[in-house]
Amino acid sequence: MAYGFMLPAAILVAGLMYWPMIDTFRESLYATTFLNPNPTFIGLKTYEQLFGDSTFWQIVRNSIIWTIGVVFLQNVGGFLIALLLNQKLPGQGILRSLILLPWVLPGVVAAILWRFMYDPQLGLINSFFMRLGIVEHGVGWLAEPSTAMAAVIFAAFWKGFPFSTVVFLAALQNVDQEQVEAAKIDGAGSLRRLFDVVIPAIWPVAVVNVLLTTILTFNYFDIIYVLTRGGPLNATAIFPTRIYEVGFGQFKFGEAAAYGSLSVLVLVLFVGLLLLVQRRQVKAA
Amino acid sequence: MASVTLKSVSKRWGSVTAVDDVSLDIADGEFMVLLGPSGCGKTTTMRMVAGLDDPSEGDILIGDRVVNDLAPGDRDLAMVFQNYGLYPHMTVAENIGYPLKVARVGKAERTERVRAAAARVELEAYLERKPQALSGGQRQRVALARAIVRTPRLFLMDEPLSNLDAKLRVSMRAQLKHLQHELATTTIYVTHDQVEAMTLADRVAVMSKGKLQQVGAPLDIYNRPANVFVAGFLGNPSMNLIAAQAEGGRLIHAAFSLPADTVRPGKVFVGQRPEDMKVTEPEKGDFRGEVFSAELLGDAALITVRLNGDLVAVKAPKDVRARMGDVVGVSFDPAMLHLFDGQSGERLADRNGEAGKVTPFPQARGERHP
Ligand SMILES: Nc1ncnc2c1ncn2[C@@H]1O[C@H](COP(=O)(O)OP(=O)(O)OP(=O)(O)O)[C@@H](O)[C@H]1O
Ligand SMILES: [Mg+2]
Repeated sequence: MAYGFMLPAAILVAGLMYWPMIDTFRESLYATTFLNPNPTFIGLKTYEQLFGDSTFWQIVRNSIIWTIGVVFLQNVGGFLIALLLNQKLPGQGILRSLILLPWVLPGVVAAILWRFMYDPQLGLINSFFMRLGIVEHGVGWLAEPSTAMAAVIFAAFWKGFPFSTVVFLAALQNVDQEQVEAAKIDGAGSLRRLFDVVIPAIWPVAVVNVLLTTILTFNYFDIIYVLTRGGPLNATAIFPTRIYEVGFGQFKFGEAAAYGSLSVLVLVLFVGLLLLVQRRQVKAA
Repeated sequence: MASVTLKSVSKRWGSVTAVDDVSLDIADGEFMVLLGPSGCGKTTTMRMVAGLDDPSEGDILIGDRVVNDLAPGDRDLAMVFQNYGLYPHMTVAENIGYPLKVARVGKAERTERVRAAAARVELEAYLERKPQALSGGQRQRVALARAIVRTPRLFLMDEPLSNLDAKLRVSMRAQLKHLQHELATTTIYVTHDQVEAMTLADRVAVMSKGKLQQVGAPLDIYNRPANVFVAGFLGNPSMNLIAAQAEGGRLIHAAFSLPADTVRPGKVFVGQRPEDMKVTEPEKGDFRGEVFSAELLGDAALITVRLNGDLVAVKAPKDVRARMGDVVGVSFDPAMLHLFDGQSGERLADRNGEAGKVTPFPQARGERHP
């Protein structure tokens, strides 16, 4: 009976949310190009081709490096900064609001800002490194295949860490002070208290945050696209930029749809994991 | 084991003075209870001894060493928190063993000492559980075991029983008393429950508004409260305190007068505990009044009598029947009168320094006013 009431809503949600995904997958089973707008059914042939293509594997590798790099920096960095902001410092209220700035900037604006930062001639990064004597000439951080990935990862970290910081700060302020003080009295130093009391207390939040940032990062498009367009030589191409490139640059809709379907698969996996973890945490609480 | 000394200790937060010039000597092995109403600074005092808060002024000594600059972990004390402060992700055994682990005690010795401490509080069967899977009373015992496992010089306990139900509280109280007696470890215990204070303490330190009011053995404090605050705070039902005027060697109240030749003229609070008074026939008492309320307490009855503008509570045997509106007589025990200065609130009768039972007016016979 109760399900009956939910049916219209369920149909609407399914139609709005899942139909495009299913349609994308259907699309990936057809050969459709700009020149040949009449789709021909070719089954899983596009996937076969993809799996045999070294570019595809480079994109898989890039996506993994990119996601792990950004998620790691965002969470570890975000946590350390949250620890800092959790101290009783003068002006801490202002600092806490200022720290949000990168996060509230539109992605494209942040990306343009970092293009200036990385600029070989005028960039702050180069002048900083040159002053320190680490490099002699301006480096084209975004133009070198060997440094481009690190450069976009760092920019994405800068853009995204405030989110983790705010989440961790809230978690830190919820840590039971009695436990922290009990550990003090038991003789534990500050590092020991961090590992024995504070981190275990915020662990559930950390797990959820890692999964969440993983999903967001895997999907992240603006920063990379504005900074490098996936280049040079696909050195920073990840699923979303590749989909855009193949679909709207080369008009290979079937291939783009195949990339899209695969990335949906990955995301579904992580969203499922996230839901599972959250359900477990609710049960444990 | 160690003594603890507070020398003119104060604690201020901005304009708030939580602890105001408190000096206190706690003997080695003594069970000292800090007692007072909510917000009087008990917890703050204890936290300063623990090292969790720094005093704004004054020195704290453990043994004969000033510990002001010592970290909590270096003061060799253990604390039981109000909500126990157990580590939720550790088992009971890991919780109890944590202070030893921090102190780098070897694993074999640790296991042995954890087992012994757990046995002391009857927790052996729960060692592998997480705190979440324990009852309030069991958690409380884990906190106790964690405190005793290290055999520290000093125990600090901040309302450790306040989260337990009434029955469990009574039985834990007895266990606690027994444990402290066995270990003979100096203990500072914070509570706002006077029954806890009376039953547990060797000595009680009564605080109010950050100031120490009186320090003494429970019975001394009960029998000779140093001021109006202590008189009113200790005892349940609390002491009757009535304002009277000292004049020409007598204490004058609208309903009675008493001879009091040692008291200087001025306002005086006359105090007597409800259990020291009796309800009598209207003609036989020292004065009479209308019954304002009559409550059955179980083992006794509390009868409140209107005495002109004041109310006087009398603890009577439970078979005394008095209805509201009845006129009854009330007699008091002149040997058990407490007199306090009307201005300062300080006890008057002890000013001459006489010891023992207070008998301010040996010849006093209350006189009914016409
Ligand atoms: N960190 C703090 N900052 C400012 N004021 C505080 C702080 N801690 C305590 N106080 C104030 O100091 C006073 C004493 O507090 P304390 O906790 O010592 O009282 P208490 O006697 O333990 O009371 P309770 O029985 O309610 O626990 C209170 O007025 C309280 O508001
Ligand atoms: Mg308190």
